[in-house]
Amino acid sequence: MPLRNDGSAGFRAWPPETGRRGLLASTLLLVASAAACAADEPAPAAPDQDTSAMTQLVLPFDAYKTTPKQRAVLGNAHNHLVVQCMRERGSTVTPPAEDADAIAAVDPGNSRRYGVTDIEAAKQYGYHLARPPSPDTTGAWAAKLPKPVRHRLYGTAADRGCLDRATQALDKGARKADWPWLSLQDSLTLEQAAKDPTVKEAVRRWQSCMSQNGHSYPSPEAAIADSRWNLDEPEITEEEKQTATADTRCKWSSGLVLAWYGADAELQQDVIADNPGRFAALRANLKQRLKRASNLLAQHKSGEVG
Amino acid sequence: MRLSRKAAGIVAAAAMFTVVAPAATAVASPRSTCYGGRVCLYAGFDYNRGQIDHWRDFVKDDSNLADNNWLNWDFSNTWHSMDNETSSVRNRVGCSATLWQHPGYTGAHSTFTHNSNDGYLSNNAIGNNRTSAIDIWCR
Repeated sequence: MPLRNDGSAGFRAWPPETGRRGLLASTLLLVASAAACAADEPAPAAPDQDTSAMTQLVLPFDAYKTTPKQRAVLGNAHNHLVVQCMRERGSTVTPPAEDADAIAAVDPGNSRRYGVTDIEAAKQYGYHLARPPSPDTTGAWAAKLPKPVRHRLYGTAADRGCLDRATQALDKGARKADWPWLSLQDSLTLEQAAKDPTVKEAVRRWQSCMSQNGHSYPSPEAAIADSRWNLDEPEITEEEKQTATADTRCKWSSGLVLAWYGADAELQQDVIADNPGRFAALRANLKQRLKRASNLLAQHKSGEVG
Repeated sequence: MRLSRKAAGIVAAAAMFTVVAPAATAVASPRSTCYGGRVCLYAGFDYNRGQIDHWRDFVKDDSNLADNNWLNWDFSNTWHSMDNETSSVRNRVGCSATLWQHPGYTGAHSTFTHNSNDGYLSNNAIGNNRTSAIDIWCR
């Protein structure tokens, strides 16, 4: 959903209003059906076409998080406030613009929330992050600034710099909202869902499937943590690719993704239902910040502000 | 589905004997600041203001913070593992950066566009954050 002209938030909808929820459920059920029919038998690797479900792991909390487009609006408004603040202090800086499409192109979404689950990405990148390189813009504007200017921009231990002042200015007047609490709940539902009996059963089926494919790991976490892969370096071995591909296929064929996602989504729905005030505040806070940011960008475009 | 705290402690203890603090450089950023070209993580809220200054900056991806130790304000090694201990972040690296809940860039995550801050990352009941990996999009 795009940001509307009035600057209000174009929040993600959940459940998806276009029938994607049903599509997701049916797709995931198809994937899991083999495992469900033979719960005690090793699950075969899932066919690759099931990866179409990957992009649809939409969770209830997603409706309250910023979209790439919203992040770009907030980022660009912040940039303008930084430029203004630095100009008032006698310096000219040109921070790079945020681009919504660029953010969206590399945003991982929920694709790695339950470990690596994208079969196509696993084939090519193993357990490594599958993302195109993002342009490094640091050198273009901040790296070569003289020390006094850097202090004005970044601040010192004694004084906040323009980057912090811009953040404060953007937040000013917005209804208080507990974003750290949402982040905490986001990690807690994932951890709680992992303890669900259906997820534990699915992990056993995953183990069996992996074993059938020649990989002996107690858990998906152990597979990605194998010391044979170095995720900090760009090199990806064939062995890593093969293991990650088997891992992701087994995650789908065992029903692990379906079980974990289902338990996770249910817990998130419960959290939202139990905390209407908190979620209303989150939505109001984001809406107000976006409105302020949009107004600022509109004024800048019309030449009213620097 | 996650390392137990005991196991994490063992990992952290092992890391204490294997991690060496980098040499101090003029561009690193203790004491609440964070200069261009890096992402700075802080053990305390509000970028350690008014607290013990345990910090560290990153210029590239790190898939498991369990093998990193916090630095002191004077760049010396604190010998404290960074795993699940980050409370605030500044992104000055020039592109977006993502903090991940689990090693290997998995689990829940928060993405910070360049020049964004978060002085109050979520904390759990025992006061530790849940950041275990950092992914810098342009590196």
